[in-house]
Amino acid sequence: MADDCDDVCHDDNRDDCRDERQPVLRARGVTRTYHDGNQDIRVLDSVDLEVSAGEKLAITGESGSGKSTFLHLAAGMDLPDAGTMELLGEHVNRLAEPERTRFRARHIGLVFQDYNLIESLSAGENIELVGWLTGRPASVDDIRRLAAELGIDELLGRRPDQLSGGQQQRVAIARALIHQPSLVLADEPTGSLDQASAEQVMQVLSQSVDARGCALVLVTHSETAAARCDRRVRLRAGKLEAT
Amino acid sequence: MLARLSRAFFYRHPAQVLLALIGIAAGVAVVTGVALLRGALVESLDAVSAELVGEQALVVRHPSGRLDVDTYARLVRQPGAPDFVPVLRAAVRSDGQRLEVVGVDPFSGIRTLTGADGTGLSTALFNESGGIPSAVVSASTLELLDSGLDSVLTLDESGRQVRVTAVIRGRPGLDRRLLMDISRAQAMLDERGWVSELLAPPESEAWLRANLGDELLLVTASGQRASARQLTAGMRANLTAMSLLALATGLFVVYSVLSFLMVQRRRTFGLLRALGMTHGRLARLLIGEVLVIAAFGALAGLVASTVLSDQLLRLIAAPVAEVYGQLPPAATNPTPWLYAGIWLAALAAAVAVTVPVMREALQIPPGRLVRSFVVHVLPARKVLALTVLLVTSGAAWVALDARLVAALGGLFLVLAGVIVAIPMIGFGLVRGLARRTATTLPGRALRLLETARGRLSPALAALSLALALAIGMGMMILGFRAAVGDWVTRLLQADMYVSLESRSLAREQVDRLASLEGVEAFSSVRRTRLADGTTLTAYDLPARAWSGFELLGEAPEAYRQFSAGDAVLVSEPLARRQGLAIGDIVELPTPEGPARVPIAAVFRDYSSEQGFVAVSGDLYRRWFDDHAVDSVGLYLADGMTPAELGRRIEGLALGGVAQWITPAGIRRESLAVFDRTFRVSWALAMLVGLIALVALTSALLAQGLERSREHATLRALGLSPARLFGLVTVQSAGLTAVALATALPLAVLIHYALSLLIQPRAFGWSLPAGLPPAEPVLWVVPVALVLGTLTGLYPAWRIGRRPMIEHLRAGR
Repeated sequence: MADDCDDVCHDDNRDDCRDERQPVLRARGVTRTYHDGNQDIRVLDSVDLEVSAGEKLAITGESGSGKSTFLHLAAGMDLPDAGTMELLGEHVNRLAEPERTRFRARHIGLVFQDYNLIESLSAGENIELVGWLTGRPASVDDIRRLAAELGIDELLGRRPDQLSGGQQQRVAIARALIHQPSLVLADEPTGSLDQASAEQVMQVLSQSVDARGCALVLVTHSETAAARCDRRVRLRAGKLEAT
Repeated sequence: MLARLSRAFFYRHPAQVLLALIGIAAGVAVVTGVALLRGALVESLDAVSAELVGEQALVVRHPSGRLDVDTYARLVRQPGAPDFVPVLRAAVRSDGQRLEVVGVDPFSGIRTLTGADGTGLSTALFNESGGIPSAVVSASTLELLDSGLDSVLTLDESGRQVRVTAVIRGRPGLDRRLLMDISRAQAMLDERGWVSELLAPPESEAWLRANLGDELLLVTASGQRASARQLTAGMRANLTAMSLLALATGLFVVYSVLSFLMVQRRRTFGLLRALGMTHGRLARLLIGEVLVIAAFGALAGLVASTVLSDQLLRLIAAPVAEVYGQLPPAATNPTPWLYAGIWLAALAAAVAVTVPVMREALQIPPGRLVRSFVVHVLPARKVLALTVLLVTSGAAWVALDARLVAALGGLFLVLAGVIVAIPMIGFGLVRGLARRTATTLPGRALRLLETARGRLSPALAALSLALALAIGMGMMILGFRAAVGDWVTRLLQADMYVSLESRSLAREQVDRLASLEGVEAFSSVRRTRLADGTTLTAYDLPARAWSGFELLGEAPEAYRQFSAGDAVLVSEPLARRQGLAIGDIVELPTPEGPARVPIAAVFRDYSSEQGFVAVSGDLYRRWFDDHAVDSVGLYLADGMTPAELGRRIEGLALGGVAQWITPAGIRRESLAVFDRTFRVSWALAMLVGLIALVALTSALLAQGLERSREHATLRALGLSPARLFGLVTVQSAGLTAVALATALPLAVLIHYALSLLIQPRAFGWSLPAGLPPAEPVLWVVPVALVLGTLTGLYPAWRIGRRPMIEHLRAGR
């Protein structure tokens, strides 16, 4: 696992190379408030959290408890009102938007509840997409190998609307992993699937993350999905509770 | 509740609603503006007589265009003679505007005209001060000249002046006219003893027919209107075709925007259907929305049309005066009926164009909460079948029916057929380009574009049509311009041409000119209008001038027959209009009775749409005993220059203001008139292009909003806002490039259709066949690419700044 992670680190600039013992993700006092008319809604309230390399963390909680908001902040898609979000030692919220975007493309893999595949691209092209965005295209062999690992190698030429929900989510997982990220952020990856498909997808995701030694932060309502993780935390009204 | 639903949605998408309003408004503005302009063109000929004597006024003229006062006096003295209104008319210029002096006798039987301040016409016309004659002018003419009451207008280069002593309102027929006392006008114009025409009340028709004799022509009001219609038929057809194309492009915008509004609410409609909304109620909701948007858009268009039509009228006034000899009113005359008709037609067109969109909305199965929506695209086989059907129908119509309406209708059908196929061809090109550049940003952008084909097809078709129209029309105009330039150069064989301002040259004056030292030979021209409306032009030509006629077809004996007075020539427009050919016999009314003469040849001519018969001067004088000529061409001996001879002519004291001009000057003036004639076509083509750009903006915005989730995903995966901006900009540039690529062959088709079909049928003349000029391509391509790319900037900016998180969740 450590070797895999080193590979990832060496793959990037030397500056990006991180000590394995250093947390991949460190949130300190992260607060996020939304304004709805005259009302302020504090979605996250001084959240402190660390995720180590190779660790799988499940975040559970009621709807509206701030799970997805935490994930968006972790991905640098949103910024906290207070506190810091540190990814691989980099203070993400101090980066300008273009740097944050580049950082995300390079080091983070994203999996969404509704797969969010680009409907106009084939499954293979969706997987290839991140390589294009980072300017480091994945080889055809890499894509085929990963697709075979996820059981979708026969489906690479199909468009998303020709795939089942479970198949689409496997393509999304492949897209999240193809560029060897240090951290995978998955937002309710089984939320739109039936139980059998959800099981399969979680198994595939868990195994793939393990195989690459990447950290995983999983936001989920599902107890079964959460049970596959090394650790679990619960968000309640924007506050973090260990479980 | 449903209205609230629509309102809330429209409020959330103001840019789309605004674009729909602009699309409809622009289309309606152009159609209404052109309709008003057409009305002004038709009304312009008989307006003066209608204003002075009444709608059904009769006009008595002499074929030469001038009638001496003795003839007038003879008529008046006859028993039962009606109240004639003698009128002297002469074209003048003031402040660069073409005007007409209309000299009338205020004490004759003209209608009561009073100035805006209540001043009577006679008082105003005789209110002379400082030796400057008085003139009564319409308010809009004064506005045109940027002058006011009591101002002094300087006419022509001769420096003659008139003082505005009264302003009249509500008489559009007197726009661009300077109403003067006839005796003062005669003195000012050096036309003592002459009038241009006699106006008479309609009830005197029987008396006039019995007493005028063969020498004078009687023109009825209906005849005048028919003549005006006929004269301007080609120009009006051209304007109508352009305005319909503008409307069609505007409707593309409407379709594009409304289909977007439907797509955005597909999920809502599915829910409403699931909750029990019937097809009927959903249809009523959608039709209601379309009607509301169309009603406001069309209303804005009607308001804009008033401004537009007056601007177009300004553009067209000079060429109409120069080419057709008519003065259109200074302002158009809108009627409530016209506005109401166009407003209702716009509503109907907007509903009709959105029928396919509504059908799709009504087909949404209840409860089907579809996130994305692929706009239905016709399969290639059906597209090809439709294209073949439309193109062959259009071609068949053109081939089987020789009328102008068939040529225009056929061209529309062919264009419609090609437009149907353009998205298929265009997106084929996009696919090919995307493949070649697959791993680059442009490649990805084009790939994403290609898959949005259903959404972008109408915009691509509209843009392609507009560009093809601009380029094709540019090719036709430049090709035609070159043809006219060549024709003028060929026609003008003399070294200089001399005429007298506002009058003809008597034989004695011609002889004096011909005998000037340095003049080697001379030619002369006399133009007259016969009782049956035919224009007859008499030429006295030296042998070397014969090559000025470009004969169409083989006619080796033509010169001999023409010179001997055994045959006549006819210009191409007349030959086409009357189906005449070499060897046919034409019958011409002469004072000696109908003369039947064979046609020796048909020649190319661009000077008159109605065409004319050319006869030798000898034959003309034998028939009409008229020895005057309108202009003389002088062939100079070696060493003599036009400038030198011009000085000698000025010293001749010919009894009028002598004007001379070289062939180069005539060519320059002819081409200037030509350019002014086609300014309005350029203006309309630009409007069509602008509407097409609105269509493109609207389609890109729609596509951007529809794909907001996809764009947000790309952003989440690592596409920076700048690259997303670049992606959308590349898409708009790519779409414009593809529109250009498909527009070029269509432009060549339009060029040949206009040159070889529409021109001959509308104006009667043909253009020499040749390759289309390349200049319009060189002008339009860079401008279109820049504008097309700029058009994409706003949607790109909107898309780039959208919060990604919100859109990642969209559809849940």
